Amino acid sequence: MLRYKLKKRGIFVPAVWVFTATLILSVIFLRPNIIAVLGIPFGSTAAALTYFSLRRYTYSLTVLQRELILQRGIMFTTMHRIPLRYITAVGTLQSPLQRLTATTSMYICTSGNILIILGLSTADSENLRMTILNGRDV
Amino acid sequence: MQYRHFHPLYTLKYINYGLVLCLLPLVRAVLDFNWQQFLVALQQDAFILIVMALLAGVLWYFSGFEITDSSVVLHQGLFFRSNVTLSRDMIAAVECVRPLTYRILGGTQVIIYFKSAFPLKKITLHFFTKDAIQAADTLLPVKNMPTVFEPTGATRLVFVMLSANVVTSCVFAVYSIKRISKILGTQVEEYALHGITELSHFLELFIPAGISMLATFVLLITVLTLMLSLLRTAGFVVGRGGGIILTKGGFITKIERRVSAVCVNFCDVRLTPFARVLRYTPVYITAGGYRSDTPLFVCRMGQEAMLQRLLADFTMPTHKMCVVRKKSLPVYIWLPASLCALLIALICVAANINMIGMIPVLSLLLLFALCNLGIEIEAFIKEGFCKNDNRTFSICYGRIFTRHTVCIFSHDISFTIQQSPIAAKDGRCNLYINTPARVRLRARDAIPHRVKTVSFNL
Repeated sequence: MLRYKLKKRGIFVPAVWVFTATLILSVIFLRPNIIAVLGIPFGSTAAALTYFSLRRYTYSLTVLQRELILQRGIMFTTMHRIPLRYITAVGTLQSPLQRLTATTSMYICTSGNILIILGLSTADSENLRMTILNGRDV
Repeated sequence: MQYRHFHPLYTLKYINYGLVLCLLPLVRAVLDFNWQQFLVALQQDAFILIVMALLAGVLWYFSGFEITDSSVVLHQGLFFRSNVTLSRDMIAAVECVRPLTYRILGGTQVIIYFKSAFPLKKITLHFFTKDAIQAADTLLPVKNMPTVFEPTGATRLVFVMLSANVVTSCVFAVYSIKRISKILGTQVEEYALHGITELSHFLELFIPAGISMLATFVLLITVLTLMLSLLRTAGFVVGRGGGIILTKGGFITKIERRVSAVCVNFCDVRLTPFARVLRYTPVYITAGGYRSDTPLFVCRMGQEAMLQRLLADFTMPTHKMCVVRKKSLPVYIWLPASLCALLIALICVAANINMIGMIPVLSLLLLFALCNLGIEIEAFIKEGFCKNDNRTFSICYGRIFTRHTVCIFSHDISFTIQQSPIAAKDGRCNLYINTPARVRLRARDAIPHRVKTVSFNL
């Protein structure tokens, strides 16, 4: 049984995305009001950081001999059970910011579902990818 | 292997794009409200249509296909050429549709559905009829097809009633009226409304005035739906040969469907209100990107095992589906019960403020809401899932007047389990089964331990 958790530095990347998006939107729509232009991005980033930090503790990815289990959710929990044999594709994406923090975004596809995992370390994602690919042949 | 062209109806798609482009000059002319501008817009439209027709013609000339022993190779595109090979092992179903206009022109629309609905669910092609038959025979060949189901007599009537689809019929009716009024240039909508009003006045002689308009609409929709269903299911035959399920039928639009039996993801036995009255159940199948809109089969209630002649692995649930005492009734009935309470309150208000005419309509709506409440209470008792003795999964759930009992054949499934804090405390969870058809089947209030420990078929 292999268990993977999200990395602390991994949650900063989506928080930076939230900051950038809200900053651009507030500059476009709330330009004369300096407090709003700066307050909204910082406020939403703080909220995002809190949310992602809590999520990080509840997020776990477990690979058993023949299936992958992903658990997530703070109050409303969701668990995915996927047989390794029926995983059709596994891939990783890395933005420049993720390359700096050595984290990746990973997607796992089955014929009926797609899971996207943000914030795994590069080494973990590569290890997980190999485990899934090897596990499929069991 | 010979290179052949598609049917000229292939160009229809591009001409339709042209028609959409034609709207742009017309909208500009309407906004300017200028007659000269309108004439210019018409000239521009004619130019756009001619250009699109020429482009479509060129695209048709450079597009074509080849049929080999086990595959169909498509060549499409002018600047960006695409060569796609459709082989037998990629295909779940092939549908050959021949509406009246296509039959006159000797063409057939062939819709090819893939095994998995992701990334591409289906592809639509236009062939000459002879080529369409050859392509279908190449992709999903049918050998020695014995007829398994051919509705005749009373079964035919039952089949027509159970195949009727109110929603599509209403959409079809509204679309047809709009098309006719556009072609004839007359206000067909007004004539239709006038006719409906006259009919409702006639019905007022027999039923209360408040309910007559509603009754007229229900009557019209029922007649229309049954007529369309009668035309759609004329000459309907189902057979199975060489691992392929073949269905044929239709009067104005002839449809032939070939479904690979091994690709059938699940079959759905639906218990609709009509089915409860008639004591027959319609059965629908889903295979990859293909979802049937007409029942594959109708069988007497309690004799669903007859379906094994078409789908050998089919079974009704062989184990207990749920534990009722662990379920929560409000989860099921909060919506229909709220609706019933609201309607009862409205009836009381209508009675108090002397709006007696509204009471029959509201009572009728209350009756529908009560029926839905009954279905949800039944779902509370029966909804659940189990793994059968033959390793298939069964899931049972209620949704909008209908109870679905689904037998999942596909092994390629995954589970999603969701829990709210209250459900976690009570030991309940919602189970979603993800199938290759991109359809999620939901069973509420399942037992988490059972869901987490049930083994997949590997």
